[in-house]
Amino acid sequence: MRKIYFISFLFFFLGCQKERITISENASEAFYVENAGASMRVSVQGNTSGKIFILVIHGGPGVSSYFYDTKYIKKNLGDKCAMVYWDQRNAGASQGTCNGTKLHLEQMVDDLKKVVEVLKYRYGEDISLFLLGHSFGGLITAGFITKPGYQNMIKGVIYVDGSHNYPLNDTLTRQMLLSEGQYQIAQKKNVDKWEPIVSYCRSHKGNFSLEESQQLEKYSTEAEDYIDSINHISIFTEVIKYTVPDKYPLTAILCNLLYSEDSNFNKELAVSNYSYSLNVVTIPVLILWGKFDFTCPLALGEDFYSRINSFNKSIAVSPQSGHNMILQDKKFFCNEVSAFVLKYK
Amino acid sequence: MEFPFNHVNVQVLKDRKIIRSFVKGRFISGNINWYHHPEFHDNLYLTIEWVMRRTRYKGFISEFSAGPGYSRTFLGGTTYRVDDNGVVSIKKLAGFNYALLTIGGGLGYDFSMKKKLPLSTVAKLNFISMFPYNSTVYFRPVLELGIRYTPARSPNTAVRVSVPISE
Repeated sequence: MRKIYFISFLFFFLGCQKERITISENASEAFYVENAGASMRVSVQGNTSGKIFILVIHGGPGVSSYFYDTKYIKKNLGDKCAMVYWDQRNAGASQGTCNGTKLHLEQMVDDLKKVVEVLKYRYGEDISLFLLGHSFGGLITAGFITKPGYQNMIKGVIYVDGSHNYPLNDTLTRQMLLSEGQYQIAQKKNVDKWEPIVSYCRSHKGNFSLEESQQLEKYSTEAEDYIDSINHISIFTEVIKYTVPDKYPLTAILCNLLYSEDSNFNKELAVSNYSYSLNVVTIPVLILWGKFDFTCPLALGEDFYSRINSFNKSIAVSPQSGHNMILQDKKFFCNEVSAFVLKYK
Repeated sequence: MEFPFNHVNVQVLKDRKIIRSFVKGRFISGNINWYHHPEFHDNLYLTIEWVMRRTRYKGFISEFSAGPGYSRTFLGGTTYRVDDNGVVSIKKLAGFNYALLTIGGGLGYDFSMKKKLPLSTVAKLNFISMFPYNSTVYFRPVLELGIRYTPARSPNTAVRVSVPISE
């Protein structure tokens, strides 16, 4: 009897892990990629039959790709292409045991390469694959496309409010907070809120420590709340809306986020810079930016644009977005991405 | 599976009348648990818990439990590995082993107190923590709803205690 129970359990678990590959206009499936002590969840949503795949590289470090998988994107991008949501190591639904020592940028670039290889194994070598890097995901994207030969694995890059150079990022964030803060104070708007931000920026002029960098990031998130032109969204409400229907592993997401936010990895990130190697990039690139993004200011996107050697490159700015354009100006985002992937597929 | 460790019948007397009566039980409990979280993982875990339970004369149960355990997760999807040459393979029964701690409390009703039914029903909220999970600790609340069958009471550990209260 015990043997029967054991065999039944074994069949059950093997059944859950059976390979299922859906080629349809409305696919929804998840699989895992194991690499260097981490099993990373990859979710594929939308039209897999069109052979166009957009691999979303989320921000953070430690934020989950679950937050990018919205109904609007499903309806307006998922009908034309397959959206691929990858949870990076130590983030979202990715799992492992003692793997903290492997949490570094080079490893994450290698993880991304493995995810790309598995996507091609599952859906065919002939798929048109695009990378979409947001915020910290922009750093991984920059790391990937500057590796010799890696850009040949993909058709193009969509770079959304990303960061390819953290020291430059801090400098530009300080400049933007200072100039916008002074302007808002002159306009007598939220004076009491802007004054401490401006004062902090005046007293911290450069060569930023990790603590200063984190404080600037905190102020840049806060500053978005004081700009009237931004379409304000509540991340908390979005999370609540999708937690049950999308079966979020909420406590895992939270535990991973807390760990990544506090990890030594952030010291490595604070000095990461791909500016000088971007000249090797020749594939099509679409750069999307929020006009009021203080976290990764527009000048960072312009620096990215000027350094790449792609013949087909363009930059588009949303006038009503901050750092989360994917949620703040969804129509603009979907239209731009859709036109880009259909052109360069 | 529960093993009674200690069993005390408490009766509170006032003017030689029983005004309150309950049973305090201490158990060591061995459990096999499983949950399924779609596309995340299945978790099969074994726990050994120290259980403190109080059963009122009318049948209402309140209990607290805590203990260590062992967890084996099975990832919620096909798991791929890619070697250095780019060759992709599938890993069978992919998942992880974790140490586990559980703590929880529950409320229920014991049908054997008023009727001669050897059954009780209980709703229990447990918090499980698994480690090392991505070099940190993973917490998860788990709600258990269940029916318990008690074949017979253990005679060798029962003690009867009366507590008189004077006016």
